[in-house]
Amino acid sequence: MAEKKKKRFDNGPCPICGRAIINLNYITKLADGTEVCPDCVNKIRVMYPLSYGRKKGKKKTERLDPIEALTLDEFRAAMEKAPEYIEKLRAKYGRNAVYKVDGISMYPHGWFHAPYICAKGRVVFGFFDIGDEVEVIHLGVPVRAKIVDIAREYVNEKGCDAWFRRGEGGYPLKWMVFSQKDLVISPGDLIVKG
Amino acid sequence: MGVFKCALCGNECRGRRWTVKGGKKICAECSKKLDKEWKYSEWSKMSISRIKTFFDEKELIASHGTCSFCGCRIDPDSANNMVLSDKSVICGSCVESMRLAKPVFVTVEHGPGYEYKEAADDPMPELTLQDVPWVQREAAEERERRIEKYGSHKAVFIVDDVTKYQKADDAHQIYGRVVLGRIDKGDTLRVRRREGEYRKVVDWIDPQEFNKKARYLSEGYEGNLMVQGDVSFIYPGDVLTVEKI
Repeated sequence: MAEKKKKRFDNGPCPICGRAIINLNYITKLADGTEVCPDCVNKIRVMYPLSYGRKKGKKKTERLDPIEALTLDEFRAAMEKAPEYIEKLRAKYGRNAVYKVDGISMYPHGWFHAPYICAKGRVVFGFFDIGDEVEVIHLGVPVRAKIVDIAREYVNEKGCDAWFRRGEGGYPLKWMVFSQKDLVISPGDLIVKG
Repeated sequence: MGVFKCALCGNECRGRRWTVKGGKKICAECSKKLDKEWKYSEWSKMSISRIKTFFDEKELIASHGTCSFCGCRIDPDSANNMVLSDKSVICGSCVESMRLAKPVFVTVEHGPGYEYKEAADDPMPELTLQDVPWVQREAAEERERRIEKYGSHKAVFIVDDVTKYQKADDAHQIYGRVVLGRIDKGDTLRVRRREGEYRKVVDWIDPQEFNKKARYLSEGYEGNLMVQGDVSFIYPGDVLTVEKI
C-alpha cells in the first residue's frame, strides 16, 4: 500500500532565495502580492524597523510593517544596500549592537534584591540574548550590566501574542530586564554591546 | 514465545521481536542491522517499505562498486552516494558537483503526533545517467557566476541568523548556507568590516536533518556553524569567507 502523503506547511519557494516559505509563522506579503521568507525579511529589517500600533479607525493593535509597502524589485535593491547600512550604523555608534530605551517600568524582586528594571524599546541593530554583558549609557556614563530576561513582541497570523526571548535588529522589545544595584536607566538611554 | 514472520527478512523467527510503523514485527537479527544505520527511536517510526527501499539501494550501491558516471570506487557506507531513476549509481563527489543546479527543497510536515518534522525534496534521484553531464554543466556555469560575484575562496557562507547555543556557555551558532566551496571543522571564517577583518574558527558543524551524517557543509547545503566566543559583529546577510591554505 502506498504511503499517505503528509500535510506540508509551506507556500512554495521564496522568489529571492529559493527556499521554502514555511507558513507556521507570520509571512510578509509585499505590495505586489509576492510572499518572501522570514530569513530574507530579517536581512533588511534593520532598514525598515517593525512597530506595533493602531491604524486609523481601528481599536486593535496591529503590526505596522514598512516592508509590506515595498515591491519585489525594491526589496531586492534593499537587500543589496543592507550591509552598507549596517556598516554606517556601526560607524555611527562605534558598537556591535545597540538598543534604544523608550520606557521604563520597575517591579520588586524581594528582600535584599535589587528591583527588576524593565526597559521597553527597540533594537537598532545587532543581537541581544539573555545573559549577555552589556553597557547601559545613562547621561553619557557607561555602566556594565547583565541582561536577566528579554521578551520580543510578536503577533502571529491568528492575532495571538507570542514571545521570542531574544532581541534582533529592527524589532521592538516588550522588555529587556536588569536586576542590579545602582543601575539607573531612563527613556532615551542606549544599551550597547561589543 | 510463538513463531512470527519477520517483515524485513521474511523468515519465520522466534524470540524477542520489535515493531515498526504499522505494527510490523522485526526479528532480533534484523533489529541489529537497523541499529547500525539509525537510532531505535528513528527506525521504530519508519515504515517497512522505506526501510526495504533503503537496504535495496544500499545493496545496489555495493554491487556496483564504481560510480556509473566518473568510474571512481564507491564507498558503500558513505551517505552521499545516490541511486538515479535508471538504477545507475553515482558517487558523492558527482552529487556535490551537481548540487548547485539541483538544490534540495526543505520544508516542514506533520510528524508523529502533533510534532512538526523536516521534510526534504531532493530532485536528484529523478535524473537519469544521461542527464548528469548537462546538470553538471549547469552547476559549473552557476559556480562561475558565483565566483565572479564573491571572488575566489575555499568557501563562501551567507549568514541567515546568529543565535546563542543554549547547551554550552559562550558558544554561538551561525545559521546559513554555503554558496560556494565547502566548509570543514577547524576552518577559519573571515568577515570584513570597515575597521578591519574579524576571524572565527568553526568548532563543529551541525547540518540539516536530512543531511545529518555529513561531516562538512558543501555548496548548496545549509546548516549551523558552531563558534566559541563573541560573534556580535556578525549580522544576517553577511558574507563569510574561508580562505584557501
